[in-house]
Amino acid sequence: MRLIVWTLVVISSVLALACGGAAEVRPRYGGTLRIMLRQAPASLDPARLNASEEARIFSLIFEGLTGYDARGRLQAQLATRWQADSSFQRWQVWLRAGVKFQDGTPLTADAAAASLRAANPAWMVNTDGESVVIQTTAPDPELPAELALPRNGIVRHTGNKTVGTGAFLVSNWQPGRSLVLSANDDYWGGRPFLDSVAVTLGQSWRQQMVALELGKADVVEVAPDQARRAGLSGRTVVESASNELLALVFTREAQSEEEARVRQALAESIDRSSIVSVLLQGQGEASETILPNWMTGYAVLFGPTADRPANVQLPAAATMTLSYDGSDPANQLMAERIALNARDAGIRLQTIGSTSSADVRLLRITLASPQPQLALVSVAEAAGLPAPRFEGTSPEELYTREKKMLHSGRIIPLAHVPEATVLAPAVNGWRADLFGGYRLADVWLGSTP
Amino acid sequence: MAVYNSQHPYMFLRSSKPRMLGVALGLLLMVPAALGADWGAPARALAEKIAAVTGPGAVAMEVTNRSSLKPAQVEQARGALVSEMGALGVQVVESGQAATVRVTFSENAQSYLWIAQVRQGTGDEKALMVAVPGAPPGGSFGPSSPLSIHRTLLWSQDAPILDATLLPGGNPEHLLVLDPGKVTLFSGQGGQWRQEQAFPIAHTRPWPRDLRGRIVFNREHLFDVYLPGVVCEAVLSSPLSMACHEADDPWPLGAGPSSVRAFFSPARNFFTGVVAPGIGKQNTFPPFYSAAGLPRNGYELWVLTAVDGSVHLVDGINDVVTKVPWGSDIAALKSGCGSGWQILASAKSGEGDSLRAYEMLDREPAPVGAATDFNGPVTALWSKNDGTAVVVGQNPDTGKYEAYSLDIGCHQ
Repeated sequence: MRLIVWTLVVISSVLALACGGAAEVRPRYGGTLRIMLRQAPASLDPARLNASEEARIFSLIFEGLTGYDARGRLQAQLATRWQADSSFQRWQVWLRAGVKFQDGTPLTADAAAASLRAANPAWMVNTDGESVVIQTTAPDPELPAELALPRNGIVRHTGNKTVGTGAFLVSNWQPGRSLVLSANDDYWGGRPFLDSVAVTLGQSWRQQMVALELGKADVVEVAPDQARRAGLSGRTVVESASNELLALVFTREAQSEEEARVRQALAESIDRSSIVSVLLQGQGEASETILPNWMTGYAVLFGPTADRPANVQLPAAATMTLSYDGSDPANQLMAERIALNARDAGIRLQTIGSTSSADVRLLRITLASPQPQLALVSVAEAAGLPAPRFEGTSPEELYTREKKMLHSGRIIPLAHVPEATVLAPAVNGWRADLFGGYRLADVWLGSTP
Repeated sequence: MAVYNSQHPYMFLRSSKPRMLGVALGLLLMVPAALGADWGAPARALAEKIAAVTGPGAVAMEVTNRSSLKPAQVEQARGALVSEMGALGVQVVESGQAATVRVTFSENAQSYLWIAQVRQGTGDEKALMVAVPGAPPGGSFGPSSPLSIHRTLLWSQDAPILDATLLPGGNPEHLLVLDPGKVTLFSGQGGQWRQEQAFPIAHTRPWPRDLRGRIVFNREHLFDVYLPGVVCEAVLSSPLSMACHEADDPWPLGAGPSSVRAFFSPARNFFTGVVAPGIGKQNTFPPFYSAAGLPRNGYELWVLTAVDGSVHLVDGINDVVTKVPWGSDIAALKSGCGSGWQILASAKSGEGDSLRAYEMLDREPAPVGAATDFNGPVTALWSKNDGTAVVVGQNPDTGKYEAYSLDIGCHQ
């Protein structure tokens, strides 16, 4: 296995292995899997997706023409193949035969084109036999990867219902509160083993862990700083690659050379290693890059992650405000640690536990795609920075665009953190996903040891 | 043009020296980097980029490995790069030159990444990169158990293998491989399996998840294929063809076409429990995943692994239910040692699965020999009519499915 840090980890204690180490059995059909999530989407339309985390649920219902396998490799999903012209502005995508929407309607090129047209007004989408032809106004070498984005899930609107082609269909939906999914018996990839999935939305990390302890949930999210503890206490913890960026984001451009120097001093003052090792309990990697090294391989070009003394001459009494999302206690600790480091460098950071306006914000940004170009764009969008435009797929261009974003002085990366999920003992067939996705079609419920 | 194409499978040929050949081919095909042959193109590409910055002349170069490449591979890659740079007039010499090149062999989730940081004098450093697709997928299944179970790699491919069968007799050897979309016929030629024909499997309904299927040799028309709700049979025409139709015909449970048969659920991954023509007086059992028959004096002892986790021992009169730490898949193997036949059963073993042979003594399974470990899940296990069995496992490092022929050595 490679040395890169994205290696998927399944932590299970000796106790868990002892209990669950009985003979391997074939998957069993049936049962309801109970999931809890922090996110609370108000809509089930992929085009109105709010956060990358919501993609976990959307991907159960909707599928794109392309998708990613568990190792983050782009693969055909509702498409079978695709081809671009030499300018990368015209793409032809051939559809998989025999696919039906969850209401029984066959997936046709017309239906796929209509769905993509609605999600991407800038694209010109037509059909050619059983294929979809997409024309873009500028070269788009990463279009196949874009088709895998959750917002490009193929949907069919019937009245006030939105149906997809995924392994599960919606049987009960309480916006922002709960979602019940049923197995799609006619799913082209084979009916899921589970009969249904019950999702409770808007649950804090603490509420989720309590529910797991009481046997009221089978799959819960766990805070990064609690993941190790959960593993040590005998839980099965599944981690994604480090696909969440912790960063400081300035709300505007530096207004002067002096302000730019202060930002540089702040970036150099932060003890990233301590944030990861102490506050995040070792979950994640300290980083001075926007994209994690497992995604690019070139983090070495940005220099080692080291704690450097501030060597920038500062104006007297440099003062800034730092806001963070106070609903997560870990954010407060991190903000206070950053303020402490900044003070040592001669910068006064006033922390604010809300998302109200401030000079700089502490953000957790989930990368939207395993594809680095799209991931960089997603960070720019989430941080309110100008989105980079790519003309090709070379690593040099990616490096140049990322370097430009960093040199803008608007963003200071701190760390990359994995997403962690805790499973009840009865959950079988869970496949660790590079990007933290839930691949529930293969999950099945066994007897609790 | 940017075109998506599926990957080509790589293949192995059964041999009298299976492990040696398997290891040799594995090294040859799975870690091409070790031979250095594939470093030429990326070395040339990076050398051209370096030369475009430095121009002809002497440069100092240092190399750092931040990838999973082994030291020997790094040395080969470095050698290839130096050679290609030399061909472009860029000579690598000791430090102290005006131009320095820092080469880093790195990698990301998709590929190796070769990076060159080039600095000329006091000028800005330039970062040059070449992505090298096809990072090594890692090792194959671990070495064969030194104990009684011997395995020979038959075939490996990306698509799930449901079953594989060596056709008896024939020169050259022929191999049939069943996957969800087709049956592929290979012939052994020049030390490799070469595809002769592929027979698509027609079906109208989506396959159930955890799809299962098996190939059964048939003396009259070569082979039959059983899948949930679909039966196919070879048609002896020229060229050979295969006809499929939707049917719930019972599947043969044993090695040959005339053995006990059982109905398979068309939308699930188990046998319904209804057996035809029956085992002695018994023809209904709980749903089960797998069955194996052991010849005994005057009768056949059948072992069924039920969906509820129990194991049924059926002799035509009695149905003894027992709990054994087995997995879902079992097969009968003819060894000639001990009682002559053993049961091979899957089980969980660390992160992967294992197979272990059992003797049925007084209708209690007794392990004989140590378990053979696989570093991934065992996805199929079927008895074959020559007394061997075929097991399919998924290699977690490569994601590929690997079919092995199994036999038991008595000397161990």
